[in-house]
Amino acid sequence: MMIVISVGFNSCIKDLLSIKDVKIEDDFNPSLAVPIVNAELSLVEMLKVANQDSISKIDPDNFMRLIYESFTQRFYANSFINIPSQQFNAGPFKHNTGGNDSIRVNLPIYFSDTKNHNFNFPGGEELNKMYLKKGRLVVRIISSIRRSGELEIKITGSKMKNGNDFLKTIPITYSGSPQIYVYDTIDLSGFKFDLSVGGTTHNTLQVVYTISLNQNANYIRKNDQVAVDVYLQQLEFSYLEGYLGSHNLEYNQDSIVMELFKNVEKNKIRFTDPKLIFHFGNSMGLPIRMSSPDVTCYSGKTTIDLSGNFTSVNHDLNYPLIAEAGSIKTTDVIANKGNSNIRDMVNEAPSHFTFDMNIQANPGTKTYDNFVTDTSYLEVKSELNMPLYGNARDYNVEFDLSVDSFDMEMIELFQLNFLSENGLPIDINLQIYLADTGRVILDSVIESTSMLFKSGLTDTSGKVIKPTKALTKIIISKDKIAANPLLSRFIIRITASTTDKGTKDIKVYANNRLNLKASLFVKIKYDI
Amino acid sequence: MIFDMKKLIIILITLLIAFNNPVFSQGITRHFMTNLPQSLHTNPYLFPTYRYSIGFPLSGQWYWETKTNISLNTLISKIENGTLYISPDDIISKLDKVNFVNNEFNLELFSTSFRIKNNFFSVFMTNKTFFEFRYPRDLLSIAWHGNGQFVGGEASFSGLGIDFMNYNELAIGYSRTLKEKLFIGGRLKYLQGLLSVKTSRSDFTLKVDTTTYWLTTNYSATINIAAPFDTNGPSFSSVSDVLNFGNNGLAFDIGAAYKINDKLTASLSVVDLGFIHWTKNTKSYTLEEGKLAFEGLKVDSTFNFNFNDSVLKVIQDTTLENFQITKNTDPFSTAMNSRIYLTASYDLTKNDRFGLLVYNRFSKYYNYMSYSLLYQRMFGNILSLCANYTLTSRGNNKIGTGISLRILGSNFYFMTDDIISIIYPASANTFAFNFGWYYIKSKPKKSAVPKATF
Repeated sequence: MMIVISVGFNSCIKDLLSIKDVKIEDDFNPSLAVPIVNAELSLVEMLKVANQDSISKIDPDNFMRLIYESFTQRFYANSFINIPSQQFNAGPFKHNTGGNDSIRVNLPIYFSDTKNHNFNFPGGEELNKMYLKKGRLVVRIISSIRRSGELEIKITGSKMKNGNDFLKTIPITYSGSPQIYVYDTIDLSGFKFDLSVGGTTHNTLQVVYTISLNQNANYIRKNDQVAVDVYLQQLEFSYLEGYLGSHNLEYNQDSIVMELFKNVEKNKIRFTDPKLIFHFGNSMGLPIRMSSPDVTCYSGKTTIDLSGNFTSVNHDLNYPLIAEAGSIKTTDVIANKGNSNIRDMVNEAPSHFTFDMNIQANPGTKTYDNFVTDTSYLEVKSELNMPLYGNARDYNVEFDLSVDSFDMEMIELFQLNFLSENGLPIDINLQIYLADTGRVILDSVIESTSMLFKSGLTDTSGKVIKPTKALTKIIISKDKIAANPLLSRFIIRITASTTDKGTKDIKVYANNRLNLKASLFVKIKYDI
Repeated sequence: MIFDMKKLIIILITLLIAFNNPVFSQGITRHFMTNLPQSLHTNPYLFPTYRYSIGFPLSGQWYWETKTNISLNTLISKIENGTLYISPDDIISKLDKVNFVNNEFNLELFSTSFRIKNNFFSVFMTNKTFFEFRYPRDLLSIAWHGNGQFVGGEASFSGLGIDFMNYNELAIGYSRTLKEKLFIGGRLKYLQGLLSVKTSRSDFTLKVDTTTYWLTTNYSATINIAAPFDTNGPSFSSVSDVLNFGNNGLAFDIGAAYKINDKLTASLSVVDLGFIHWTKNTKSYTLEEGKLAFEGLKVDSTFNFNFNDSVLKVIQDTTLENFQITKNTDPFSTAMNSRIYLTASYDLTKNDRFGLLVYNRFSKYYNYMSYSLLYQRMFGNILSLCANYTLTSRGNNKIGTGISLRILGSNFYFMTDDIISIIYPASANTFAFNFGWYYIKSKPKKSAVPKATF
């Protein structure tokens, strides 16, 4: 027994100890089943993937529209209405010496005058009221009458910041010099001026000047006089009322770039009712008119100008009344398929639109109920509004998957599974091409003509009423790969059309979803 | 793939041999050699013929058993011209759902047994160590064949884990004969746990959906440790931290035999019913029961379309977020792995005995059962030989042998449950050796004591 044990044991150990190399007899031949994507996508998410989600808008009933917007341009009232500095004067005031060279006057001397100063506005404004945010009033008095006294200035109908009537007294002091110079500056912040002289006129500032000179022993010479100059400077309004003049607002030409149509030939996507909308917001209390919109779309070398009634009529904008100061009145000026060729322009699959227009304030007859504040503005934004109602065909997205670095001979089976439930009114198809390094197509993978994700079932209005379910398996066999030794890349082309190959107008809602579960089964063989 | 695997093979053999696990030990040969006190370990009802026995400290009562459900031959396809050929396909096909390598090493520190009239007493003090490593077939299968094989099904990685335990056992036994027909007995064991690493829960599955290939894993795991180390390395500051003498346990063995007639006897024993309650240096790591599904890159309204983040990073973040491992230092208990021995013996002659043994051990993750045919031949009071053939529920078979020789009042013995493992280790599923010696005082010549039975 011990001999048997010894012989057997020695034989076994000898075999084990003789091992110098180890070889794996079997090929490494694993199969991998991997989920790739579990997507639940509405068109909103699809646009998100394409970085285009900012253009989607959803109506309360979930109906979707695509909206391209220009930048907002804003025109403030103080950019075209300015109050220039004004200069007024009163006097010279002289005492009657009765033809004598000089006389002694043992009583105080008084001068008084009421003057209507006319405000000059370069824009033809005719104002009734002017409230100032900032400004100053500078008074200069030059007197050769050798007496002290004071000047009182009163502006009719004006109120100071504290609500009191404007009344300013400026002392005049004689100290022996031949001429008396007096300067005084008054801050006009918060001042309110009535430029209508009690509703009788416009642009008129009525000022009452009263000068009182005290009695002294000096003679009054026949050429002695007092002159008053008044300067209104650095004026900035907080409110203007009256007729604000006729002004052209300078619109800067704008454009919209449309990424959506990058891979689309013209008329492949057709929107039934696209609109070009100019959104105006106006807090200036005066009539404003938009006219002669100049809109052009560019599609390759083709350009199309906006035409139709829309371009030939004037569009007057809403504006707030004086009682509505502070509010913003909106106006949407809309070019649609009824008044323009906008549908043809959009269906041209343009790459971009450009916009220009004339905007005029007070284009018509003069009225005196205009008003603006320092914060009043007009703003305008252009919007290309495309309700997702229409049809499309052969919208292509294509991308490459390079397999240069893979040993494709290892692949025994490559299978893609797509389990879908399509609630979109869109047929989506897929083709995978085998191509060489120069993207020359060698072969295609999918021979079936059946749709990968067939559109959901739609009613007569084009709305999806039932999603369509499908399971599709795409197999790339070893034989297919072996038959194309120059294979360097896969070209994956996704083609989308609306229901029934784009022959039927459909509506897209945000709750239309494509539930897609994509998975991959790959079997490789590697000789270890 | 060619590389120097010599060392690997040697390491593999070493691992197969070195790991010990007493709880799983079968001790088929030992069970049948009832003339030795060692047999009391699985025959608590045994009523030996000798008057008393003494096993001296470290006198050589060694028990060593290594089992695995696959042999080295399973791993080796062929050895030809110094080249080892391995067939992963073949290996995986031969694996069971849950596979194991376990090892047991028992060192008897002291023992004695003695008879007083119809009562038999025994005391055994033993240090026991066991180790088991379990690995599910699907783990290797998925690594080699990929997960495609599980499409529409489920891969199970449950059972993956390691158990290690070292403890002292003080067993006090008592057996008695009733009218020489019925023999009953039991052993009460005080257990003193010294060190434990226990994968008490390890449930992992991976489901692959038929169409979408969605990968869904269910998981839960708990590892209980009672040892002066942690995941960060040693965690003790004094000697008392190392000596885990505060882990007490209790277990018992019970059994009975019935002589149907003069030749035929039937017996049943259940051993190692009990537990150890671990209180010192305990820490438990739990991966709470959970479910993780990977359904591909989730693209919906909540998805952040930042493609700068790789898909792998998204998956990693999601996974780490879900896998939360908690730790506590609560005491825990580990149950001993109970075994059942159902035996029938037939005394053909005074010196020739045949037996049939059904063995079962229940594990949480696999079942291990065996059927054995046994034969024992006594040559007077001097020599005893035993041979047995065992067929396991895993389809393996083995031949065990044992010899006991009485010299100068001492019984020297050597036993193995798998003689093939010695002759050709590569084909062995079991390495089991049991050797040592006892001083045994024989029965008085004129005494009418019952003969050894089981």
